Amino acid sequence: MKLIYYELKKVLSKRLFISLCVFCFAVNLCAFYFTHNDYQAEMYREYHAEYEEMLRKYSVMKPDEVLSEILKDEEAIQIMYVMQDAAMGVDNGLYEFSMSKLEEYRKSNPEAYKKAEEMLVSYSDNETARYFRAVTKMQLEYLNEYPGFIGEMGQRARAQTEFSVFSDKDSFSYKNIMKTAEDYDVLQNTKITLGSDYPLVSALTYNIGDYFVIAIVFLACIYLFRFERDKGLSDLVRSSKNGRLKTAISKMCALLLLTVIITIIAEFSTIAESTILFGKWELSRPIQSIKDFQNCILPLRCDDFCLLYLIGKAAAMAALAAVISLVFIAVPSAVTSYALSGVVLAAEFALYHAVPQDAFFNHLKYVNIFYILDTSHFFGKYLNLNIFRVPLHSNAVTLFFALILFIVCITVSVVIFILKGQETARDPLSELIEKFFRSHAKINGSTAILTGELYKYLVSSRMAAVMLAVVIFAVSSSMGSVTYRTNEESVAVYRQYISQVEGKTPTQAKSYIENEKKAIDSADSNTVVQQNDLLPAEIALAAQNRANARKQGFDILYEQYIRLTQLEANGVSARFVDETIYADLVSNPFREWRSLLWCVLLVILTIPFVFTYEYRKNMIDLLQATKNGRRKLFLAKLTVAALSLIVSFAAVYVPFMVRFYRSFHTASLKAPLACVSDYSDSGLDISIGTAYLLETIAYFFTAIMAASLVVFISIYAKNHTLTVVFSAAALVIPLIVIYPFEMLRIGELFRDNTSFKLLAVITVTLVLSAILISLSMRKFTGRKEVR
Amino acid sequence: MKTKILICSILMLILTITLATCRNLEDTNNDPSLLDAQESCIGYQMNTRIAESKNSFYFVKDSFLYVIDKNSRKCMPLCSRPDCTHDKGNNDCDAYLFIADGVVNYSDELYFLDEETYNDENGQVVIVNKICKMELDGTSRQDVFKTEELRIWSFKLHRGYIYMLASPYNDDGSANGSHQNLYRVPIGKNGSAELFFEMSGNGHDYLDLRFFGDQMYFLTSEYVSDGKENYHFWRVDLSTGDKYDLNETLDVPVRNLYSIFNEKILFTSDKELYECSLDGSSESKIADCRSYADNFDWYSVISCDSKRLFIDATHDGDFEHRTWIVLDENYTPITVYTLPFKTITFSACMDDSMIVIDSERKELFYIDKTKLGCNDCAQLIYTFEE
Repeated sequence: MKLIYYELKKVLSKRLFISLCVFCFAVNLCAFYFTHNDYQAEMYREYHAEYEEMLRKYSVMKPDEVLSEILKDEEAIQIMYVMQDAAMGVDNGLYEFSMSKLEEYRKSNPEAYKKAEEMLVSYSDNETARYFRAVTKMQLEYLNEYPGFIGEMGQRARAQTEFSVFSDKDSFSYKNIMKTAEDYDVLQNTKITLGSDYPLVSALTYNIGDYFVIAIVFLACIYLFRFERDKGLSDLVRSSKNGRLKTAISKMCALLLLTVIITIIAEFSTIAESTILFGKWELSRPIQSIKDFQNCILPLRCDDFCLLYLIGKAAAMAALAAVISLVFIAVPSAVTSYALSGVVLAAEFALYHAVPQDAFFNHLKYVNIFYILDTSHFFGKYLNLNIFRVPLHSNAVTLFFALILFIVCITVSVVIFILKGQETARDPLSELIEKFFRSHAKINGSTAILTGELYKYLVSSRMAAVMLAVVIFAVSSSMGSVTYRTNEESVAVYRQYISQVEGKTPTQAKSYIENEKKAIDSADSNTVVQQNDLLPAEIALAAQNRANARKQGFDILYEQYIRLTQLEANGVSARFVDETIYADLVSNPFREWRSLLWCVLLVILTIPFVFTYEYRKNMIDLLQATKNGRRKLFLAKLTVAALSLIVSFAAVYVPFMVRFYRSFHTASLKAPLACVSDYSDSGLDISIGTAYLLETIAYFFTAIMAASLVVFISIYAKNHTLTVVFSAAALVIPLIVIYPFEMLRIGELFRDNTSFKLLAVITVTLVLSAILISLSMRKFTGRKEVR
Repeated sequence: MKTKILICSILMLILTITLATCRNLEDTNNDPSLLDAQESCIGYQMNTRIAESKNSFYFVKDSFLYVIDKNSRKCMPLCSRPDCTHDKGNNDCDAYLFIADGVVNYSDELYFLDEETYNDENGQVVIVNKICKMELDGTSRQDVFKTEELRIWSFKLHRGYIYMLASPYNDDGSANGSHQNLYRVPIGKNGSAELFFEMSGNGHDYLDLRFFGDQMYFLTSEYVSDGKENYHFWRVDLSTGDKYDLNETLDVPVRNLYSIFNEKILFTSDKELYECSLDGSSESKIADCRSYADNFDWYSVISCDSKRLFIDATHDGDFEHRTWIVLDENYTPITVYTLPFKTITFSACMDDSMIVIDSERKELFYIDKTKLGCNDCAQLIYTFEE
């Protein structure tokens, strides 16, 4: 027990680890809020008290009474609308029509009429009530359908097996059908009830927190299994009395304990945040009361399901931790072990997300740790896997696999730890590179600090090879071309038209467009149908569709012509440009996101070498004791980091520019930005090329901010690997979070009020960069206390 | 060393288990009777809307694949999960097909069109057109052919090859539906598709591609000007690769749908029914279609099974009151059947059954061809949800 305590202390005493945990939990909470910001989330956030009041009122009523109440309210709302029409239509015929309708309502349904009068007074509440009434109505529909869904499962199964395709008793399909019906039997007596679903569903389907937990677990594995190894202390530990088996078991226990606790804290905090934001949820409701969990065959209440969810997440993370620990223990080289762990995680992740659910070999998708990590789906959906034509429930198969994996990894890790010395080895590639540089690289005797820093970075840290690889990759990426594809025939037709008028002013293209318009208008698609013998309606439809596509394609061009003519009249030197190409050039959410991600990854992998070198080599105190060992040294290092950033940024962004130029040249880049309809409200009198350049500059400033953050972390962490892990958590995971939100791209800023927004982005990034750099400088150049 | 041996052993074990659950993916079935079954399932162009197997029919409606059992005449989505609600927005349903609007049965496997997308290095969405297959019970989906260069509009399979009507993506990234060509690729082999038949000039439609033994027939229409079109009726000898435009030798050219019935090519022109041999010779007029059913503006041969030929008769612009003239092997009328359906997709099928989908009323009917013409010959067997 004491050993476990000391192993835990090794990790928990590290400020970086605690900082990472606090940072990740905080960012996770922010990310949850950020990703739940749509209309639905807003309604629950603002009005969950009113909704809970409504549910309390409905809880004492029977479902059909609730539905009747809701229908009455809906009727009252219809009457209220007529009242509003009457109020607005005093000066026209609408008033009399509305009043006569109201009179009819008053006689036929006085109760609803009175309610409508009350609703008219408090309009703002009505919208809330309307929204949640609609939510309740949908729930009631589900409540009504569910007993039939469960009760008739057997009947449906029998009906299916009567079909010859499913009647072969030896086939997987037949067995799957029968097993499914049997497994749902346990829910026959389940009574589902009304309640607030959104708080629980939003918490349980939120998976971004997993990435933060994985980052923390990764760091914990580094501290437990690599730290002593890298410091050369592992032999000392192994030579002690309990230095083998007991130490190995203690480390494993410490890792698992940390993993479980961190996972539970992360998930629990998400559930708590969701409850605080979106309101309470009924603990005792059967989980099947929530439509998202209709296919859950576990007869559990919501609170039990939450508990199972936490256990499932913790189990999956424990299995992951076991795999990572095995890699760290088995592989002597630090770099190789990190890379291999990354590859294993990435492979599992890719298989889970890329393999289709109905694929021939979907076992790769479902017998997967990331399937368990998608815990709401794992426990909330029903699925049988085809194992040698026998349907086995996916939960059982996957959990069994995870358990075996866990036991094997832990056992093998312990065995290797006991039997094998935990020395650190250099990876073979590093050996070769260093040998090459020792033979060929000569120091010219310069004592310049910048030269020294460049040498340390490029030669000693082997970044020259990385930079070279990056540049080679960038050059080869520049060779291709840019093609914009479409399956829309109308867009294909538009492109054919635009190739005739691109670069021309509206005046120059006028005669061509007007002639073409005449030809399109006079072509009667029905004539095409009537003039041939091919009669079936589908043939006529095909011909008509083609004619329509031609017209639609031309309509796109014609709208552009009208808009450009207007611009020309307003004094803009308007020209025809291919909207599909140039709108995409300025704003392509995926390309912008991916380019920034690549740039950030390169920054995270390369810049830490600049500031952590001396700490790795234990030279920092010696250097900082010299005359130029603080401020000048810091500035030199910053220069090297800046150069590295410039190379990384150029390697990511320049190839696309080159490919674009090779494909389309620059003629249309000089056209005003307003010529592209998406950016006609930008308010900027600049060309398309300038807009793209401004966007690139804004991204460069963003990259500077990212690099500044990495520098800051490097100086505080004083360790390359820890810097990488912390930077990845701080930069990469938030990037992943914003991926689905396409409006969060600099290209989107060009749609309106561009100058203000662009200025804001540049200012914020510059200010943050300045703060981070100055803090870094203060830390680096500050005096240390003697311990 | 021991660690490495241990890891290798574990990997070998996993590989062995994986391979043990694999199936033989090679296509070996060349049974001609089954292959030709799809010929009776033509809607229009190459599209086989309905597929037929020994015990079932299959068709796609609104992205869902349905199966009709021949014995019980019941219909349902092809999903082997009794707990599935087959919701329209639910991609988890086994019966859901993303873009396919029809399936083809070949060697007891169902083939269908699909697509996937990914973002390329320029951030552009690249559409990968695929032809996939699955078992007759809807399980074990696999990709058979993938291409980024072609936009596949429709396809058929015949004797080890996939024949695709497709448009190449141009340099400007468009796949123009008017520039369609015929491609083929051996089943189960990836790589580039062979350009099997290319039409030069502007705007071609490929219509009504059919196979009969080693021969392939298809009709193309070439847009000339002012709504006028030229028609070419091609025969391709698949064993030699020779191509012939039969319209060059036929006195009355084929400009309409046709069928291969009694080992003859049957078609209509100007309200008259013609036949010719499979090589385009011995063309002769069989009858004036008005003698079967008068007062219609358009007559076209739309389908056949082994015993019956179907001629579709309609009034100009009126697709609501269609009539089928059903002839036997001697071209004697069996019945004249006024369809109680509107916009339809149908399959004549190989046996005495017929499937008709009334798209407007969203209803599926099963027709006993031996009772065609009787009021109760159409049995409603399924109503699609909105």
